[in-house]
Amino acid sequence: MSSKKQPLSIDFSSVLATSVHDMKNSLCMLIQSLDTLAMQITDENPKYGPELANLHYEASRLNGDLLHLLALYRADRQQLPLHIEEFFIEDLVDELVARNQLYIQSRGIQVETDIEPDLCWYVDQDLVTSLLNDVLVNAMRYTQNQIQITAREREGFLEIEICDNGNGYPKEMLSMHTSMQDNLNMQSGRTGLGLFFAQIIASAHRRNDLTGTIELKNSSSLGGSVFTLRLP
Amino acid sequence: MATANSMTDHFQRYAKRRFLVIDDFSEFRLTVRKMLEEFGAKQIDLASNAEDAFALYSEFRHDVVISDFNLGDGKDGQQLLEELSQLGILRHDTLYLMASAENSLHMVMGALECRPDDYLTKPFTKNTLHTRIDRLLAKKQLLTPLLKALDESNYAKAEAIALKLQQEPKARATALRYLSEIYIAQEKWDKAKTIFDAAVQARPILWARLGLVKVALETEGGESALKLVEPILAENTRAVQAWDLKALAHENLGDYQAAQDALQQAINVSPRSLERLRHAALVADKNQDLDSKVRYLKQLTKQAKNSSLKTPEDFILRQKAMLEKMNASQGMAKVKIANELQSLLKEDQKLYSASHFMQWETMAVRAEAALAEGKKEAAKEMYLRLKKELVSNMDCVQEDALLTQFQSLCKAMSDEEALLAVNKQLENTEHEEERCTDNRLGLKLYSDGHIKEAVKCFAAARQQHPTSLAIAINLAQALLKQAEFQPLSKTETQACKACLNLSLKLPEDDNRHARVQQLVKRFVALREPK
Repeated sequence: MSSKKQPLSIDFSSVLATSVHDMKNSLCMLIQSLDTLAMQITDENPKYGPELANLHYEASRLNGDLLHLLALYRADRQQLPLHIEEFFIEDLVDELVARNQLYIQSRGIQVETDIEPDLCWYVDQDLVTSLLNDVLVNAMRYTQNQIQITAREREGFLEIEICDNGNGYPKEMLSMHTSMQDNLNMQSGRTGLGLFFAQIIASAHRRNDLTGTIELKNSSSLGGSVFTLRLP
Repeated sequence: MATANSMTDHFQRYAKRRFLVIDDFSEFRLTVRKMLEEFGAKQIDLASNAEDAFALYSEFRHDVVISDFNLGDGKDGQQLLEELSQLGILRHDTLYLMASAENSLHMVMGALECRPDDYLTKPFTKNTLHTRIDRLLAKKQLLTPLLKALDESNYAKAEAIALKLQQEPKARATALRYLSEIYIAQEKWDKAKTIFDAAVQARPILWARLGLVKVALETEGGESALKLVEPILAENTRAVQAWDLKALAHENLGDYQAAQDALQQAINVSPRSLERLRHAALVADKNQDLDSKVRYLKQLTKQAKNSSLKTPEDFILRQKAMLEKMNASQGMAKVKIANELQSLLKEDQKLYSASHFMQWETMAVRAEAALAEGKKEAAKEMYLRLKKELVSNMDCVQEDALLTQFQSLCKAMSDEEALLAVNKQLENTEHEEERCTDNRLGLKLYSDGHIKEAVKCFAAARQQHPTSLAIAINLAQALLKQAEFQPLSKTETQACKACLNLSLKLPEDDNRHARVQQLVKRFVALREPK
């Protein structure tokens, strides 16, 4: 061995990607254990329900964050390929709601879905599901008690909307997503990375000259925020 | 809203089905089991590795399999699926779900011919699993007749079903993909291209883009194929099938170095596929890149060891490549390779311990290795031992690999008499459907009335050619004959059942069909209480 002072040359981004992967595996086990616990406990001791739902929510959020990190790392290295296949949007949304059933029930949220029957679209299932999941998780957090998910075809785009009856998005967020690429503001807290991620996923869906977009508004028919995803 | 009645029905549906959960993490297995129990499932088997799962599935042929992709050091989930499918064990209506924490898995694996019904990204909740299974079971029911027809290679029937399924919204897309595969299998390139073109027109769907590459390669050649495959790889360096096709395109143009580079890329992404490693070794051979060839073949045999889809050829190729390397080396390097070859030969022999063919083959390689090292005495001794066994069975030796090797040994030993015998057998064109010495030996022993010995030979033959219908039928017949004077053990009964299951794949117009029906009858009679 030569000198001790020689600095280690670490490819930090690879280390990060590997650790994130490992953390995701642990989280996956954690979330599943929580689900098991919830199944056993909530029938006998309903009072633990909300606490468990919170645990589940925070763990899911962590999982989502890690997923963003991994996806963004790949995107940065131009390794975020899409896997586009035809999906029934109804199935996609059903699964989305099913995934969050625990939290929805414990908070007594009413989730309504309005999806054109047999509406099919070409999407990357994993990426779009995790994008919509982020939005739904956010809506569940900030709604009073209602969430509405609608999906339809409009002018050659798939349009999915998630609305709630909460207080709506804060002002900074409404202006943020428009100029995402150049002012990703890490200080802005929780949702910055999530929105950046959503933007990347949406715009990665392309067809001819058309590109996917996201939109944040506070003009929901329910009175709260509206998130709109449009995919060509 | 579901009524109370339909809820009970639903519960009942799960109670009737048998589930298999495969994961190397015990927590995961237990969690999924609990979820399934909540849905009403009563029969749930758990396995922590592919080997146990293989045994369990072979016995119970479950309705639903939930397997993790990563299963520790042994085989992975994809390999398990391929083995079950190619050995004819997998039921057409089994719902097969592949789970993984990596959400790009289906991309790496997704374009394969042998694919699961769906991919699950971990973690998933109880409700996600429930909705997914329900939805997929409904779809699977629609697709089962198509899969059955495909498995029987009855393309006309499969085509008709796939076309009819275009009316079913939920099965339409999957059936369309199968339809394109049916056309590819029948080399109806134009029809396949129409499907791919239409699909790509809508969206750049990976399977359709790869399909277009395949068609271009077949109808227009390597250059057109390269033009189509390069953009796919530019977008996604992990699309293994695209690398495979790129290699084929380069081969088509005679550029074997580029082909080898492409295959190396594919191997980097997905290092375990036997098929791909075989291909790489072949291409390295054309490049006269002996070191790479040996490396691929070593990797191949390492993987093959754990696989039911291994072939003796895999091991023989590696033996020969190492002999080649020995001959090309000098001094200490040569001794080192010789020692390595010796220990590998021991392993190969153990792996196929019941096979006469492999015992003889390894003896021939030992003699060759001794010659290469200049150990003439040892070579002669090994040669004489081999000759003693071979000469009396020469009419049964089927594989050219062994015959030509023995031929060159005869020449080296100036053994005119033996050379004559081996030349005669080489010219003998009466070969079996499967060129398998052990199968031939089994037939000889069977007709001489040595049933138990015949069973051993057929079993060894089946280990070498697990997908051969001819050998499976022979083994089943010999086992049923043996049952007339000695009850079959549990293992033997299972082996017989597996053989008969496989031989049911025979099309109805095959002349062995009636014989198989007879055997099945006898097998059923055997299991009925007297």
